[in-house]
Amino acid sequence: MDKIETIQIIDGNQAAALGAKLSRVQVIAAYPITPQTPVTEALSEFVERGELDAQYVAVESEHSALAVCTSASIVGAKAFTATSSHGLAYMHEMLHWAAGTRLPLVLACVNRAIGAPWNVQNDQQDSISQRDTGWIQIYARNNQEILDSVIQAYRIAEKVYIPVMVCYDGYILSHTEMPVSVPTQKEVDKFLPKYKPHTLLDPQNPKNYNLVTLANPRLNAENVLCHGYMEIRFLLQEALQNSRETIIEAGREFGKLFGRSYGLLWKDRMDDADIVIVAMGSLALEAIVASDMLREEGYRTGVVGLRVFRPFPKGDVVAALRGARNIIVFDKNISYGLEGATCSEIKSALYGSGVNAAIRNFIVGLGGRNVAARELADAVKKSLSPSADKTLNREYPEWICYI
Amino acid sequence: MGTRSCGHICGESSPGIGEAGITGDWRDSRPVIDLDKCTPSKKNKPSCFQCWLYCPEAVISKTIPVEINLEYCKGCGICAQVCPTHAITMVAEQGRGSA
Amino acid sequence: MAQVEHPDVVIVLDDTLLKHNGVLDGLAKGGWLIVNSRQEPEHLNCHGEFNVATADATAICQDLGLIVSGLTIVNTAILGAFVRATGLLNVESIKKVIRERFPKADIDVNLAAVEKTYEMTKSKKQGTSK
Repeated sequence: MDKIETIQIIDGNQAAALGAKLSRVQVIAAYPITPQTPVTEALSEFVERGELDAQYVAVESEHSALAVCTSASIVGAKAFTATSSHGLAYMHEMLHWAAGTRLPLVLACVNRAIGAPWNVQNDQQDSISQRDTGWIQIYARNNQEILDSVIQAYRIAEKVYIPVMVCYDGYILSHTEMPVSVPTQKEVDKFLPKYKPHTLLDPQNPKNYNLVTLANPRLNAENVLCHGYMEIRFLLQEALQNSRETIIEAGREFGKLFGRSYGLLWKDRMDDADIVIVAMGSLALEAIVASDMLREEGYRTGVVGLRVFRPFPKGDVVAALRGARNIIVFDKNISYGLEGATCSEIKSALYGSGVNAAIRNFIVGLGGRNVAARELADAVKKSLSPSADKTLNREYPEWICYI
Repeated sequence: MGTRSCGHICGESSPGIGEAGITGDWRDSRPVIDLDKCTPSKKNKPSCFQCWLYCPEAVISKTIPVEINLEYCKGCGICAQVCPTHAITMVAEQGRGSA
Repeated sequence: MAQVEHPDVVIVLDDTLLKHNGVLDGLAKGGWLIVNSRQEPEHLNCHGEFNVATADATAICQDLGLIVSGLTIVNTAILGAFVRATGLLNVESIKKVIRERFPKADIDVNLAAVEKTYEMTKSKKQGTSK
């Protein structure tokens, strides 16, 4: 029997680049930015060596990168880009544009802090800041998940016509090598069906895309009632809500072919946990180390690692947290003026669910600040202390840092 | 008023006459061609047609005589500006609307 | 940055780092401290229940021209010291990976760096005077 995978020791950037290569992307436009640069270098090398039959378009900015990808996608090509931090911010308006045009783009976001002050190290503020744009957002905990999620992203995006952002922690994953099972091209070809674009530029059937769309629906020249702006936006939200099934199906089918299944969130020791730690990205694995430490001390802890942040898996989160009495959410980001984004969204999901748990939020790891499992465990213990309401901030999150 | 019959999931349209509606209603003044000054019309020979070339709405025909589709002409006045023989004048529209 | 709090081996690529706190924290009993240094292990002034090895990887790499933009690159060379001191791997495995993974133009110089450093490594086991 032919081997369907080989194990390679690669870093997260290489994993992302391999994912794009195996997905047979046709157009790559990306601008280098630390810590994403090796992704662009790897992909340009694949193209130059003839290993990947794609157009590598050198652009002068991230905004242009996503503009090129959008244009390529709108004429039916499979496109890919990667960026971080300021680069993602620079393409912000195009993120809206791609989602609004319902294009199946895949973007790898190597999570990095945003300035000011200037910092090239890891946190998740960049992708969290873009959670309103209408993209599906998937977070990887390790390099295997990066590779696998980029491949699944194309299957998901092309089925639901929503662009997908695969996010992974800069340096912690992007520059750290770990064993990754790399599938063969043949097997990935089995997993990814042929793309059927909903937009095409065809002189036989000329179309105008993204014309000015006014508030109200209107009759077109053929007397067909066309959507107003709001209806088109409704369709995006509806598609996001419904994409849950496609995401689950892609993860399940991936599991059948490659032996690794994926869902919306990861659960560790949740069967009997009443203290739940919630985290996203590589932090979710650190949280498991912390949880194991706490279990040894007699605490009944479990971990919920969020994989899909958009669409926010409300029902699944509620089901996972049903038995929790204490929920401690660690955020590597903060929606300034309020609290960590994951925490807010957990609270929103739990509203009206009947889950009656104390929820604490800790801001950790900003700007690449090291997060030790012990610090997470200590924060959990602080949250459980009977004097927690007096010692911990009630209104705003606690920060694990030196202030 | 809800409908999904258009089947679109993003803003899209096909080229079609009147896709943006009856835009002739938009204008304040209309172009009037003096056929005695219009070169192709006068000479009965295909020539000039600058008005046809420059019209942004493609409502001027490359015919003899030159004709302007007033159902869609928005009255921008570019044709009058470019006509080399000043054959086109913009004339104010007078009270077209009625209850 | 690493989450390793109880290392069995600590490799120090620049011996000036030894004057900073924390370098030896958590080093396991019977573990190895391997330092890129001109000094002999006993002159490093690092004492504890661990073994010490040194090799002057900087000199070896400078002689071989393993310099990029003015910076001497010692990280491949020090693997030779690691292998010689700990015996956890054999040097042929390291050389195999270099041949497989490094760009063609860089293979020979990195192989030489590992071999030379392996030869020049001096070890001092804990509790011994030499």
